Amino acid sequence: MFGKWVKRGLPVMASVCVLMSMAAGADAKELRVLAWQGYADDDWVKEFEAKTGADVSVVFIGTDDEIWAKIKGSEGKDFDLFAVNTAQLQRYIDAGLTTPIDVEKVPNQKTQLPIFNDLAKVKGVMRDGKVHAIPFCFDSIGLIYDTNKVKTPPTSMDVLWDPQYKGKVLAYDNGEHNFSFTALTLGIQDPFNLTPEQMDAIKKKLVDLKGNVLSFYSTADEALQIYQSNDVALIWANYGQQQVKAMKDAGAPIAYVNPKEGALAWLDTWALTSGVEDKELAEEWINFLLQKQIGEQLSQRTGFGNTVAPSANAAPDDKLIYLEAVEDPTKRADLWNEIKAAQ
Amino acid sequence: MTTERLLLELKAVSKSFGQTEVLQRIDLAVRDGEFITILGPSGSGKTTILRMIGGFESPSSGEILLDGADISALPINKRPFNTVFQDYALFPHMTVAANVGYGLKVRGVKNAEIETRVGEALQLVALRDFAGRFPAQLSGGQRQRVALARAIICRPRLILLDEPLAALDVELRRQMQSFLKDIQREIKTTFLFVTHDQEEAIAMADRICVMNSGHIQQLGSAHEVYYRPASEFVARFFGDNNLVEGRLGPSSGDRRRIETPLGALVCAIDGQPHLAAAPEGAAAYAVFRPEALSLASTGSSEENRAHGLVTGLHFAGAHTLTSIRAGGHEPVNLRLRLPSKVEGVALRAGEAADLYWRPSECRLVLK
Amino acid sequence: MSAVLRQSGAWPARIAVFAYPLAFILFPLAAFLAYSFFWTEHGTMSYALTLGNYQRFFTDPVFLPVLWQTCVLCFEVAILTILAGYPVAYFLAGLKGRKRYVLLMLMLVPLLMSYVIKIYAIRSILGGNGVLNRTLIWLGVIDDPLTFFVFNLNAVLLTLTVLLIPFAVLPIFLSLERIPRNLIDASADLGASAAQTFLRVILPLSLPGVVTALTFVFVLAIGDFLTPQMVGGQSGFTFGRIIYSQFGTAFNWPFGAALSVILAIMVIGAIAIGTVFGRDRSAGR
Repeated sequence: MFGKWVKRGLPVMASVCVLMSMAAGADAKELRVLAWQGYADDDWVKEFEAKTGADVSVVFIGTDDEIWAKIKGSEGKDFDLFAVNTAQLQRYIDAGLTTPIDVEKVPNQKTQLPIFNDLAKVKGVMRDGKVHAIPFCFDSIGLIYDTNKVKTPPTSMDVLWDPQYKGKVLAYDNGEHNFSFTALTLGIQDPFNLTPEQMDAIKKKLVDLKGNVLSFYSTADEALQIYQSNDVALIWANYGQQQVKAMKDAGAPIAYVNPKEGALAWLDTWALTSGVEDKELAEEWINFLLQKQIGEQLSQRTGFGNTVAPSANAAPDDKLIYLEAVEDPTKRADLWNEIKAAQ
Repeated sequence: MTTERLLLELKAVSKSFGQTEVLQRIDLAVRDGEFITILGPSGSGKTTILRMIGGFESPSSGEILLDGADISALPINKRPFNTVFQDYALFPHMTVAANVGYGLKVRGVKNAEIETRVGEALQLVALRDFAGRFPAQLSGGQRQRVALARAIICRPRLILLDEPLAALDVELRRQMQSFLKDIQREIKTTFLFVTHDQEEAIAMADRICVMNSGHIQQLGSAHEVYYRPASEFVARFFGDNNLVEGRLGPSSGDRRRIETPLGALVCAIDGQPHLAAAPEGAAAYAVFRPEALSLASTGSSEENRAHGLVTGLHFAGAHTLTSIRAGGHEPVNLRLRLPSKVEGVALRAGEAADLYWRPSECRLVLK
Repeated sequence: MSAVLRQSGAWPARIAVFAYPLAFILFPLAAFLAYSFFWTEHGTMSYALTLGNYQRFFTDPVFLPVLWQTCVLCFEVAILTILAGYPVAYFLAGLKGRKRYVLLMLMLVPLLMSYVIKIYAIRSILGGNGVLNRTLIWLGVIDDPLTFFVFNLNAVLLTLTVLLIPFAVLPIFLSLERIPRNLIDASADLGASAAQTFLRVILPLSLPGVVTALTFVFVLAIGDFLTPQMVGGQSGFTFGRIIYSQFGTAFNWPFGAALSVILAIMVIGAIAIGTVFGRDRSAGR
């Protein structure tokens, strides 16, 4: 009887406490964070709260569209900062939903890895000389190869076309990415804005690739399963280090490389909303997360590359090409169907 | 047309399904060209006999001889017999013509010949105009005739008919009975006809084989089975026979007396030597048919007689069945069948009646 | 009075009877049909009506050939399932008593399993160093792994066949079971051998079941995009995968809807043909 009351009562009491603390917090410092799972773990939040005396409330999201709905829906007023990738970030800047960051208030930014610490060279985070977001974590789309079957470590995606690996290549079933990486392989500078001529050339190249491909996979799990029951030498690794980790756990003798012509990669950043209430506290949050220790923990826990400590996701001199919105996704999808239908 | 030549013989044939013995050492001889009927209540084993002859079942023991050679091991399709099934078993996806021609087709007979013979067979069963129809488009009687045509077209040595008229209504049944009989006369093929209907058996058969519980009770002409029953079962199986129990008295020539509650009755025993040989005092029944009784004496001193009270009258169309309680302190119920008259029969309930019947119409069966 | 009450009481039930199919079958289908007349540009839906999606289907060199190939493939699958399923059904129908239903149930057990898991299982059997190849090598039948059933149309054919065999067995079994025993007796009685009885009586009478099975399997196969996707490799491209890509990667719902409508018409056509040929001619008066 009593237990039942406790069970029922506890959530109610908890809610009351939350409401009270919210009311009381009108004066206390408060930080409202919108993030992906893994970007604001409990132990980090507690440490930050202890350090600053602020209350941090984190809302986790599952899709890009969800972020847009939450930020755009409140015109930035419901959150102080949010995690977003560089491709998506552009529409927030366009819509004036971000507040430029004072990099001086984020001293740890200086300690970021060489490929990230010069923000001017990280495509997409700056606009009109102002910093709209600071890189937080990333992953590359590199090449997994079986070290028993591929004796010379490959350096370029070119190897996927190598006739000696005919029928031993696993590629990913997605036209948009395949056009981008093939563009890079063909030496095209901007793989996200292709001219019709470039598309034609890439289409031909992809039809050629088909001849070498055993199958197009959709999930990391599927790729592993195909690898296990077939003679596979090379895998175009859409899921990057997550995929590598799963394969190594399964005992596969594989290695991972980012191609020299540049590896497609996604890069998630922290950005301040236009409705940020305590800008300094938000900047302090970013600075807090850019500690080496937290970066290492992040990589360990998620398999993503962090931007402060070295990880397997990218070597110091690797060239990463951050994904951007492409010129015409529908066109690419249609061409991809034509490629798949080609005899 | 019936010859004494034997076509088929069953010798000591027994059949068991699991623990149940449905036929016990059956001996049966079928004569070439006859119309033989196996008659019995359901469960008597009559259909099992037919199915064993057809090859659908094999005997547990015993032999089945065709022209003296054992065919027990011969598969169905090698036996020169054809069957008319109870529900006709016409092939629903074939036309009447294809159904009838099936037996020739599978034997590789040329199409032209098949066509001719199918035409003849359909002519015989008066279904020539129905050749292109499907079975589902025919009435029950028509299907019956198709099944018959299909069975006779292969000119089998024997046609097996498994209660083929059971599904038809009474009028159609009568027609089909005489139709079958006519066909049998025309094609001169041996028919083995299984039925549970006594009247049907009597109307059609040259010989009737009466079966009960896996045994043959009697084998003989319709007349014999009807008028000279060999056992109490047969006596009771055909209609409203009067059976009066008693003890055998002395015999003289073709007559034997029996002491009954009605007094001493004289019964005919000609052709039944075992009755002459039975010891005096043995339990037996006097058997006489309701239509053998009359209300007036013909004057013969040998006539059997009984006196009783009319207890009931049952008008049944052509005749009226009258119940009479006869005898003294051990009364016996007798049935009397009188021709119906528009003004009613000469008897009224409660009246006394004197009954007479000739010894030749009174038979004996041992108890 | 009570009749009126009873009738009015039945109304909610009657409405429900019609409302469920309406809500869950007809409405989605109508939505598809409606969507197929819209169009998109750069990911934005336009609700202005157009026949452009259908025009594109008939003029683009990709779609018609793929649809044709898919139909051929699915028809082959249907034929293979019949060839494999008929003997099974025949065997089951020939069993007596409880045994046949127990075995039938056992055969249907795979239908309870997840479709994806079955594909995974088949894929690990068919793989280059899968169970089948390793067994053949171990037996010394072959020296190197065979590849003609690995990630190509043959694999799709084989996998779909294996997955769909139960759908072929069931209708054939039911049609065989419906054949009265005495028709088979009658055939033998008229002098037919076992083979003649099968060809002239059993097979023709089971044809409605065969046609049903053919239609069943064809329809199920043509709507399947997962199997070609997972075992088809680079050459196993089917119409279902095109439709899937329109909804998945291309975000071109209207065109995907148009392709779906076309597929639905194909399926309805297949069922109609199946109904005509599968009709039991003898049953009608």
